[in-house]
Amino acid sequence: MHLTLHLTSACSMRCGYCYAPPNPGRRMSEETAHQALELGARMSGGSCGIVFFGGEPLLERDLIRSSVAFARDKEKRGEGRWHFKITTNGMLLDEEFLQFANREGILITMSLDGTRAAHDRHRRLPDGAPSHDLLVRRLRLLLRYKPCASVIMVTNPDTAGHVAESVVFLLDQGVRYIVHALNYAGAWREEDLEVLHAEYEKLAELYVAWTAAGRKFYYSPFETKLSSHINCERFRDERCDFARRQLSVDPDGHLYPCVQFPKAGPESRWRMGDVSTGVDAAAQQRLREEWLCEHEPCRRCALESRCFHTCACLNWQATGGIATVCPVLCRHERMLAPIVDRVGEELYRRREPLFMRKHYSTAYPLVSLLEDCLAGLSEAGNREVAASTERTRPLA
Amino acid sequence: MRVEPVDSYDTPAYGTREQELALPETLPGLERRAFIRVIGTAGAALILLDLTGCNDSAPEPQADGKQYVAPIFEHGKGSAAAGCVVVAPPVFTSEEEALEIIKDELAKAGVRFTRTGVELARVKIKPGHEAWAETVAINGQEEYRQAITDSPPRPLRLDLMDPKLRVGVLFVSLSRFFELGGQSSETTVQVYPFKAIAKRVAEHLKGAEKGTYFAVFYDPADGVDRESESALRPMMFNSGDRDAWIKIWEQAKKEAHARSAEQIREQARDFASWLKEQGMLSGVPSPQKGL
Repeated sequence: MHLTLHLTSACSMRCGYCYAPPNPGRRMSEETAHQALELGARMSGGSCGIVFFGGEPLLERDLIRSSVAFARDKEKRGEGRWHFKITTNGMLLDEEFLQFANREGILITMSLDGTRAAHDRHRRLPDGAPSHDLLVRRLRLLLRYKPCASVIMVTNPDTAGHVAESVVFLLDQGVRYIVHALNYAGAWREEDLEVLHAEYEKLAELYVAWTAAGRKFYYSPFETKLSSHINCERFRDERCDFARRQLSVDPDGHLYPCVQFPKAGPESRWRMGDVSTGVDAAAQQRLREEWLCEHEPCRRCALESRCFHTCACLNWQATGGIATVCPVLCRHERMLAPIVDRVGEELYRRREPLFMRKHYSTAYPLVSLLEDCLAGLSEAGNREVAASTERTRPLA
Repeated sequence: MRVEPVDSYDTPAYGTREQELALPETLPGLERRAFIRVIGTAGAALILLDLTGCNDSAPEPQADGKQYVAPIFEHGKGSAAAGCVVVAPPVFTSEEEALEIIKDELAKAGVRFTRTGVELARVKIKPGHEAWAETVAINGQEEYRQAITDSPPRPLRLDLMDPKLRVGVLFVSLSRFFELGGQSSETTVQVYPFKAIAKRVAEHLKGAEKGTYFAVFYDPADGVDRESESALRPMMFNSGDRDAWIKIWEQAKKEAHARSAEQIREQARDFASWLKEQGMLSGVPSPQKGL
């Protein structure tokens, strides 16, 4: 069980595709944040994940500190357990905060859309200036403190042609976990998806080459699609569990079924309780029934069990209905699956050791972590990764 | 752009995790080697840590040349017919019941089936075609033949798996008869040669990778014996005795069902003995010893 705390609706950037444009007036109070932590622990049987979100959560770093301190104090008294994560645009990351994050075991995910050309197309500072150079410096700082930090890379129709080079760019920087998402609400045309298709084909070649070279990395579109076949039912279980597994708390303490819905406001039908009174069970039931009752065209689809069409947030953002499947997503899934399956088949046929370990061994996360800890993810290690990218770059 | 369901999509030719865990090869070895390399780098003395206990995997595969597929343990005739003119129909044992018996019997030997439905990607069996009458009626005999020809082989699915001991079993039941290659008799009487199907499945399993021990059991499909049935038949057609006949008939079915259950249990017992002969259960604590 996770709670996403929208600490503020203000943001230090002005990204063109943001689904919740900044609104400087709303900040979460300390009391609301603490109530949310207590609610999370109650709802999850004592151990709860908290995601600090925004707007830009680092605008409220004092609130983050006080919330973590509140949680740690309660942990000492045996009143629950919490683990924390922050999703940030990275602008306000500094050494002092990263030291704090490391002390407290807070995971950090940073947004960066890849190369300068891809990133600066949409991710702008409030004065309209580009942000890439600044954020690449922040990324390097982040990786120095947190070598396994993940990066969220968003692609729009007009940046589809930059996908492969952006993935290579991020890996060159030393990023090992890339969460790549499309802006499904964008005005995707068939020709944009053809461009994206070609980019995935390039990445398929790179994925095989990098894996064969024993290089560890995580690239979400490929990993999740491989997992959808390799882990079958477990993958199905881990897909969106709308209004239940990951609720959002807006700055005023109202509860919503997922991260996109706080923007609809407390008067909307998406509100499902608040941190002081808890989840409104009737509202939760109503939302889940609405979510579960449709997806009709997908029931007879051969890829149904391997697809993300159940993501309510994404559907709502793109179509206005939580169970009305986004056509772009459908087209994308149909395009991606055969590409990734070819990658899986090739690596499986060769029994590539890293592929077999990464995708089939239950011990891999533990052993890999030990490998990384003992080998040390130093800057020298990052340079080695970058050099490896250079060796495989001609494929892109 | 529209939402367009995909009508068909080939199963990818890379295994699922279940399949990999069922077929031991390099995974435990790979993890162990990776781990030892790390430990070696660190100069630590943790090399004694046995990863086998951490990853739900099995002992290393044994050397080739061993027998991995058990013979068919013949208890019960394993052949039956049902349909139009069959007057003494067999009593089938459900898959669920049979698997409970098998689990129960093998648990006594220390085999613990914690996985179900494991598919063996490399062992494929061409399924039979159940819907003979419907297909022929709608599309004709030629279409029916074509449907059989076009039906692709499918990965074999085990019913139960002990991933630690690497023991997998499969039960040839009525519900899986066609899936496992049973053919339509193409008449209104369907013949179910369960034992013959079990033998054929066992032959296919010999093509699986070494290291997992397999057994194929079958439904004995015991029925009301013919003599009793002949004696009962006059009662059946005499309406005055119909209730008495039903009672006797139901009792006879119960007895047949119990005989089948015992025969399945005997098949499982034989398999446990066979596993011991292969040296697989030596050192496996029996439940009585505290596990």
